[in-house]
Amino acid sequence: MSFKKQLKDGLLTNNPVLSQLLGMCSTMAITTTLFNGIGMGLSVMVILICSNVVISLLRKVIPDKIRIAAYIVVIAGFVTMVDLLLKAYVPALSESLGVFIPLIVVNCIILGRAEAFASKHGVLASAADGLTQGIGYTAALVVMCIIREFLGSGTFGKGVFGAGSFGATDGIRILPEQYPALLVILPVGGFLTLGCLIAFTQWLNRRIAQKEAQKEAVE
Amino acid sequence: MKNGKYILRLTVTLLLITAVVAGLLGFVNYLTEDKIAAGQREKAKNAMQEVLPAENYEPLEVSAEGINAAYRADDLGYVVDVTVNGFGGAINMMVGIDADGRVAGVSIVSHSETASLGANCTREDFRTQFSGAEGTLAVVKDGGTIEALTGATVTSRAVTSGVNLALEFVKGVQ
Amino acid sequence: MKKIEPLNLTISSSPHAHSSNSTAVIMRDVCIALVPALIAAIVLFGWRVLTLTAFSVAGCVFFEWGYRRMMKKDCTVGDWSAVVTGVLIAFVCPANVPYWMILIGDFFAIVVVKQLFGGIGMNIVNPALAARALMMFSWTSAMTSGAYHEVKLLDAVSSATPMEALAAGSLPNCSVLELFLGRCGGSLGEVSAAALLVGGAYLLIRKVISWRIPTAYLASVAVLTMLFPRGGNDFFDWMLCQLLSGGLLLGAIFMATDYTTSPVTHFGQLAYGVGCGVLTVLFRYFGAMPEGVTFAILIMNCCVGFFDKMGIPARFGAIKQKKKRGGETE
Repeated sequence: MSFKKQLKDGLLTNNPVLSQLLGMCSTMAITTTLFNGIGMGLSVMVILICSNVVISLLRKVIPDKIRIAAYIVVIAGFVTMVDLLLKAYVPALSESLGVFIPLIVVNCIILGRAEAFASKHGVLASAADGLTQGIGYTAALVVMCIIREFLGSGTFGKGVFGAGSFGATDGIRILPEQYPALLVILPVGGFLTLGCLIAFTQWLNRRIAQKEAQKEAVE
Repeated sequence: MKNGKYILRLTVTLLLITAVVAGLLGFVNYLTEDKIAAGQREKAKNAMQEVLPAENYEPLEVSAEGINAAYRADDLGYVVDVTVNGFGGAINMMVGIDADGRVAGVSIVSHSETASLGANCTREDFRTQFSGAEGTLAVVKDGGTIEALTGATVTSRAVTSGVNLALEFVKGVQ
Repeated sequence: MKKIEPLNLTISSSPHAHSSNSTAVIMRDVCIALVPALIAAIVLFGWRVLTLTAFSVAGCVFFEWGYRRMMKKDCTVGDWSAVVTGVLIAFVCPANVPYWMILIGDFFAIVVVKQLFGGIGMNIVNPALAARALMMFSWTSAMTSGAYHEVKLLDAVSSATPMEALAAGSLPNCSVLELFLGRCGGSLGEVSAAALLVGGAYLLIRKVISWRIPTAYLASVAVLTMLFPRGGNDFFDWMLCQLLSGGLLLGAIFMATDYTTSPVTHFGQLAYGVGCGVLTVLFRYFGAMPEGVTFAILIMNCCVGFFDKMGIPARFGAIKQKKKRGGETE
């Protein structure tokens, strides 16, 4: 399938978080600042691409019976490498995300794509799949972050923009301090925001499907 | 026969994959080890600089409860790394004490207190209350001078007890 | 012989006997029962109480009408349940709460807690209490102690609320009579025990609520606080203060008895009341916030199905089938 179609799939119709409902745990837990969202999204994307490529290369070699064990070993390897590299070169992100970086190993998106796509397609297609699904995941995270940060802290871009060292900045304040609802930053807010976002994506997907059906009917 | 060969193949494949991944990991670890250790030292030093700026921090022997580490900061005083039990878990703080035995600064390194209640212990207006104090401190409710955080008496008491631990330790060292 | 006129009989299925009861009638009774507390609050805290309550009611009614219209469903505003929710949300806030905060609470209670789950009768938790939980966690300083300190009580600024004092283990500043009448700090609806009890009596007389839940709730709180007084206080004084302070009476009479979120069976209701009471005392004694009623009732709301099962009465004529070895049946 074309890269453009894969991209649209990854962003909307087959978005790992909003359509496939995978990897929601990390989505709800860390999307409190823009820094977290972008950092986590990029980390997962890198791991996804690497693990997809390796598993696709080995797909003819790994026997069916031990494939899950083999996939996990590969994924865990890449996650640990990324964890060490982040600790060394971007310690602010490592501290901010905390235990959720090692938890990427059990992020259903990575194992899911390995099982559903990489084990059945060639290397290039798998890499593209990793990229597009990663972009979709990052997009979902960033949208969640922007919404939750705005409603919960009243700022934009915490950790990226604003005063302070990179990774721990204050963000640009939009709402005065007494208005933001702290609840949105707590896990409850994560659930509520994600629910609304999924509902919105479903509605959008339906509209797109309707428009396409109409276009085909016309042709 | 075929069964045995099949199991052997499974085992060897998994072993090879694991070995290669482990090897790569070892390599990446070797590359990043030093940088990570340096980063940790830097972070600890920054935390200490925040409470009592100095050039060198010489580690001291500690055996008291709650005190993780203590350093002599040149001739300016001491910095003590304390952990106390807060409301939602352990609170780890750095307390700087100057040569006269007065508190130079308090910094909360990590905590798991309730958001907007106990979590306000990191706010500057709460922490600066301790500056310049000496002896044994207590919150107003217990007859002392430290004003507790609204709705977070346990957290306030915990932080105060941490500062007291540090003050006691320094008194013992001097 | 006189010709026998055929009777005009309509054929239909049961029910054939109707009372004048309807959801609207019941909800209106609840509103009437809340009026004494409203009047007490206006006397104690000023006219803002009236505008706040009216605004909250308007907000709830608007959101319910708006949601039903947007989702192309029938309009349920006429059953007055939104009005009751609006009044209760206002009652659980301090008198100086900002209008926009109550509006967001209204939205959450009506749209998220009630309508998204299917409308009246389908919500799992009490909408007003859920809104209070939302507001308490989102804007803590505006909903807890700090805010109460700045409310003017009968033209004098009030001091620590009774719940704060109790949370610290000491008896509140006010005398028991003051607690009973309401001359002490607290949220709009919870201060005047007298007004709430009058409302409760009205509801009992009109048979809107049954005695089981409030009695079980208040009795278990009374027993527990009497057995375990804190701070070395006299157990009777402590128990009385605990009963009259905070949102306990408001919760026990008006929130825990909400039809949708409480059990139907008799024993279930008693167990539910006891459960609420036990949790309230636990949260008041060991919780981070001084008040425990909100979360006690919310948690018990989630367990209602279980309580209902506990209280299923024996069916007429049904015998318990004893399982016998060897497959013999009774």
